[in-house]
Amino acid sequence: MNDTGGASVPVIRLHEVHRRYSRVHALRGVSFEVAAGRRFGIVGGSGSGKSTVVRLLAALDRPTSGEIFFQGRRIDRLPERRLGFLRARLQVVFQDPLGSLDPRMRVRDIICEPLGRRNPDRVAELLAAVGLPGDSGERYPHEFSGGQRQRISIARALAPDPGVLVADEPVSALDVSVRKQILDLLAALADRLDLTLVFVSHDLAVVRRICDTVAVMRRGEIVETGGVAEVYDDPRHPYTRELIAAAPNLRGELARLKGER
Amino acid sequence: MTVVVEGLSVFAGDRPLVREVSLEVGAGERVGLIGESGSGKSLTAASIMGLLPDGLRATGSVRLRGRELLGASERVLSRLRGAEVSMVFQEPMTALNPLMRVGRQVAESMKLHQGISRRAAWARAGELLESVDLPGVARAYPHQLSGGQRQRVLLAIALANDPALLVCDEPTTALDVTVQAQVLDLILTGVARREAALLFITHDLAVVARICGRVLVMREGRIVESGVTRDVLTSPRHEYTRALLAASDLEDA
Repeated sequence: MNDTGGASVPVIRLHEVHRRYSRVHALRGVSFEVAAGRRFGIVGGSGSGKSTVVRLLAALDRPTSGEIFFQGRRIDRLPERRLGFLRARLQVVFQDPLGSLDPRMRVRDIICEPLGRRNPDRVAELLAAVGLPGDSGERYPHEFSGGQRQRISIARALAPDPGVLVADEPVSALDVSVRKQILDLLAALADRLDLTLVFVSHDLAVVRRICDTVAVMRRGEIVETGGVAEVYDDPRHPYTRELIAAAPNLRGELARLKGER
Repeated sequence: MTVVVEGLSVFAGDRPLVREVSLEVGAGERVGLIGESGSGKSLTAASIMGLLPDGLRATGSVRLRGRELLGASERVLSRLRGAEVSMVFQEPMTALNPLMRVGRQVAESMKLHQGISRRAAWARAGELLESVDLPGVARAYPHQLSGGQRQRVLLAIALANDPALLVCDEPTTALDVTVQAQVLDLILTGVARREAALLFITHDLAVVARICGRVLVMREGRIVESGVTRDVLTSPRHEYTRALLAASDLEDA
């Protein structure tokens, strides 16, 4: 999976990462590793630092201290001109598909953006992979529904054949009726394309559906990490317990309603 | 019935956005309105509040304690809004005045509708803020508060004049999970104490299941199914309700 040869080198490694802004200490010593092929979830509330982690992973921001490695190579000090390899191998899907798609560009050009050149064959392949009609390339983002626009963002992210996909709240702005479809699409693509997935969300149920590993963040720290079943069924940290107890649970509520009959 | 909506339709030009919606909410009753974006649920709420955006036209009837609101003058509506009927929106930041202390914002509404003195209104504002678990924040400005705290200030304002009907439009969607539960509890306590009617708009079926006695399912401007929450959610009749339930369940394989 990775080009350094050693099977044990994680795709992503953060070591004691801090990020201070002028008044906010957004990350307070965050360390974790993501092995190749993992589906790694990061869950936490607003202000937990999860979006800062995404920005650092994509080298859109730099840590105040600490180290970030991608496929064994340190990236947190590289100048932009030497980050080409990262842009090709790690791509990000954002929350708001409309805000991140240029309304004046045709879908085929949006999808080819990370490639830097047109490639009709690749566009056709990607549209098929994300379940959009073959003629979508000629159209503009506003002609699509929210769920379809998120499919366009995913196609664009996959264009350079990245190996690692970072998804930052990719279904939070979507209607319930399409949320599950997009989650299942991401899972299927991760399987088929051997992707390593980093999936960031405030929603426990969403992370549980798609991830195998989860890190729970609060106030700039990871308070608990482990296998998804382990963390959800036997949470150790009080904050994880609080999160699980507070999350609306449809199955639980329906069981309660049935019991009232 | 506290509020009776009959044959409500909302048009943009000739295009119907809400079609022939009828619903009732009685005192102390909690009714959920669910559906996806564009289904017309927020426009239904806006019609009840007399807050339809310019360019939209409503027909039918909305009666609050027997008084017709559709077609009523803005003067009449503004006297009712915040007094007999009030609303909590999704986005707590945009609904507060950033330049005014929150205690004063709670007090203003009471001075306006109850004609009580400034001093009495301020004292009452402190009590109201305390009732939503915000003791001692009356002198704070909105930006000094968290999202959950701001939403509780808005709830205090909405409850300040003991409304007969409280309309909540996705009131907890923008909040952290741990804060959501707290705000929901405060909404329930607030309406129960006043025996107010509650119309609760959300896309979250688990929340509706938890708090609403009856539920209406909207799609493409129409109510496609309605009834007791237990019946609608555990033995749905309409195909769309079934699809919503299936889509909302993330625990299936």
